[in-house]
Amino acid sequence: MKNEPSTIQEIRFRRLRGLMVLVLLAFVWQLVNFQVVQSDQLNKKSFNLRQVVDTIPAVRGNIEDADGNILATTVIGHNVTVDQTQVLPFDRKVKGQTQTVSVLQAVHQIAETLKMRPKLVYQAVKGSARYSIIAKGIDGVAYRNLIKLDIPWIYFENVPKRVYPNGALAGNLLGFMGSEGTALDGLEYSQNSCLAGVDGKETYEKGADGIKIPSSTQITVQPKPGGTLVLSVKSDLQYFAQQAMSSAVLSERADWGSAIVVEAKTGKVLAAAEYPSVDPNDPGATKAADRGSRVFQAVFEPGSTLKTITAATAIDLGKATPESRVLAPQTRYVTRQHIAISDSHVHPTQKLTLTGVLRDSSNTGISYIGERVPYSVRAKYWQLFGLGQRTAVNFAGEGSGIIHATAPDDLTVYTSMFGQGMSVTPIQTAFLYQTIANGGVRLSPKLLLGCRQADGSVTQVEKTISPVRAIKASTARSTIDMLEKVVETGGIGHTASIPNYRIGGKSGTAQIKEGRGYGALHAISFIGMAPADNPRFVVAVTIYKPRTIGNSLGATPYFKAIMGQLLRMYAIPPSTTKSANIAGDW
Amino acid sequence: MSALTNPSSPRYNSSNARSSRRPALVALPNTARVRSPQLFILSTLIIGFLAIGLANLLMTVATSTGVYQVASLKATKQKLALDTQILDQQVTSLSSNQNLSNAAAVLGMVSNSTPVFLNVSQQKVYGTPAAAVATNYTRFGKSLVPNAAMTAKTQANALKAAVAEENAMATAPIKSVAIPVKSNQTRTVSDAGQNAKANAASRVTTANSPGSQVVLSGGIPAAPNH
Repeated sequence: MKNEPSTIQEIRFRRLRGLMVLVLLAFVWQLVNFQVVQSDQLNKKSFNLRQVVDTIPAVRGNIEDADGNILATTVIGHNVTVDQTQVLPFDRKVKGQTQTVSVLQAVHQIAETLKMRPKLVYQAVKGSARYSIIAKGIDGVAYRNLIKLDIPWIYFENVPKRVYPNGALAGNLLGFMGSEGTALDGLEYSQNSCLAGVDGKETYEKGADGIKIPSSTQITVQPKPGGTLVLSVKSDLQYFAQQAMSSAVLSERADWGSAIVVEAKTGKVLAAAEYPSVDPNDPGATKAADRGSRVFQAVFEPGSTLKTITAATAIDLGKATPESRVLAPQTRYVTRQHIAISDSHVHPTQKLTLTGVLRDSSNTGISYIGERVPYSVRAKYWQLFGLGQRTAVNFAGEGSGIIHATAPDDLTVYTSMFGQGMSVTPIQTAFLYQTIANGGVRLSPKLLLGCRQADGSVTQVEKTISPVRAIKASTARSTIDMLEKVVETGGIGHTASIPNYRIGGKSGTAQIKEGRGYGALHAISFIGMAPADNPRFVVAVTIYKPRTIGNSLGATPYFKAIMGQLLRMYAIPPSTTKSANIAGDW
Repeated sequence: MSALTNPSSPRYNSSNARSSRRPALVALPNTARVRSPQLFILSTLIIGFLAIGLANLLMTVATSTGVYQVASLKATKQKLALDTQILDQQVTSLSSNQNLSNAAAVLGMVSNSTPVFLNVSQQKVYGTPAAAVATNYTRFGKSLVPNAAMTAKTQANALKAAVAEENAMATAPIKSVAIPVKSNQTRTVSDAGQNAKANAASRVTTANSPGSQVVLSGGIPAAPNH
């Protein structure tokens, strides 16, 4: 190799080459510096500058009834927004002619389309903000009509919107969502983990001007849609029951009413109706106090429907039979203080059997049976029947009711025999009778059948307690036999009867504590089961503080209507057997 | 390799050799071949550029038409999606319990609280049939269960008129049920008037065909007389 430069060009060339090598080395150094030495730091810095991470909201799952009817779903709603700085009169072409539309005219047109007060629209439009919301989550029709107005300064955003296609149907169970898409009440709230799903993430790069760079979008986490919550409720039956309870509360001018339908052998809640009800599409239209579910939340003294439990307890312990005889006076003085307990109807002293006591709903009569069992033992039976504790449903804000393990005073020993001095929730009363209808075994209420994922798998979302045997099967049968006589021969009971069917049930007219004593208004109820030879359904109707009627005659027609609907719906054939032959009098 | 050649540069040597061989290669139609690589490359380049230019032009035209098409299709898709959404909403509104119950009430429908069941295999009737009676407990004039999501409603009066029209066509032949009619014979519905339509007649005929015929006696359906 010769190192001697031969020509001047070659010298220049070599110098140039040397320079280029130096420059290259400098580049290489910088490259190493950026890529290796400072890489982490720089990456972080630049990433934060141009990389934008957005959440892709997961679609909230539907709520369905037992037959797959949709009770709650999510659709696309539209927010109407405005750039207030652009709010100016504009030209609009109508049939080839150009009209100038003033701001005020446009405001009125928007208000008319959205059925809003023009004043509210005007407030949203006036000002200097670049972004202001006129209306949230409007539906497709309003959206289309608004587009037709062709107003240049309003804009739309697509937003998820929760819709309840059947309105207030089961609304008190479903609960509702806030305007920001947060679950506020009911199952929407308590089952949020099933319904909500998991938000996804997308990243994209942003130019210096803040504009998304096309084709830079990358979905880093796929959103996982929420599961479908399946209720055990049958919406047709639920609707019928809600209609019935609405009619009851309105016509009797009551505070509230509830009707619960339970499948006796499974514990499934087929309907849990109440009035006042909330329309989750518009919860604001209902008073805050009426937006929960009284079926689970309201506590009240049950009254005479509890006589059935007193009787069953005595029979179960061998202290009585359906034909045990008592002399039932109009008034009986009990306790050391000789406090009177009386029957609600005036009558001479009657010779009644236990069945007759239930038939006539005699307070004095049941006191002679009830006192055969110590209070503390009866209290244990109440627990077995599920009183004094929340159900396994554990509904948001569910009440537990109050039962005293030991008698708080002498009088309660007696009054508790006919359901005063203790409190229960409507769902508890239904399951008192479910226990009897199911041969003495109490099941946990089943309101939710499960949470169904996109792949079809269903997960249990409700705790279940193992079945609890409260009374012997034979006791349950005897109790049903007595309840049948109540409906066949009772003064009030027979108004609950359905021709050709064996029905068993019991009425209740409970006094309501007000201050230190009891008020003039009552909580009336009727709880029954059918067909009594092999009960399939339990219906519990409660009407709180009716003002046009003072006894359970106000509840039986609705029990009858709902039970009749149920028997028709399930095509239960009329009974072919007769009820047991038990005497009510002696 | 020849040891006699100048070793200074093999490249120089070979070019030197080529130039020294040159006269031997004269006078053949090879001249065209010698010129041709340059011309070929040039023409290929020109044609290539032209082709690329043309392709580019065509693609630009195609893309821009495509963009317009995409934009227009996107708009159509959006419009259709909105239409679907609106129609969906109408369907759910119309099929909501509230709307159905209101429509049923307008038509005077009442849920019958005394159901009757026929057991075909045992030829038995369970229950005592009775007319459905509208009471406060079985008929609620209007839905009492609010529904803010119900935006579409059944045109109750139109429905009523349609039902009345149906009844006008169907009732007349039913009145003459007592007259036995052979199933394959098309009934002349003289008492229903000339305007009674054939389909109404055929429907009545089917209802009276043997097998589904039930003779009424004392209000209780008896077993079919085969």
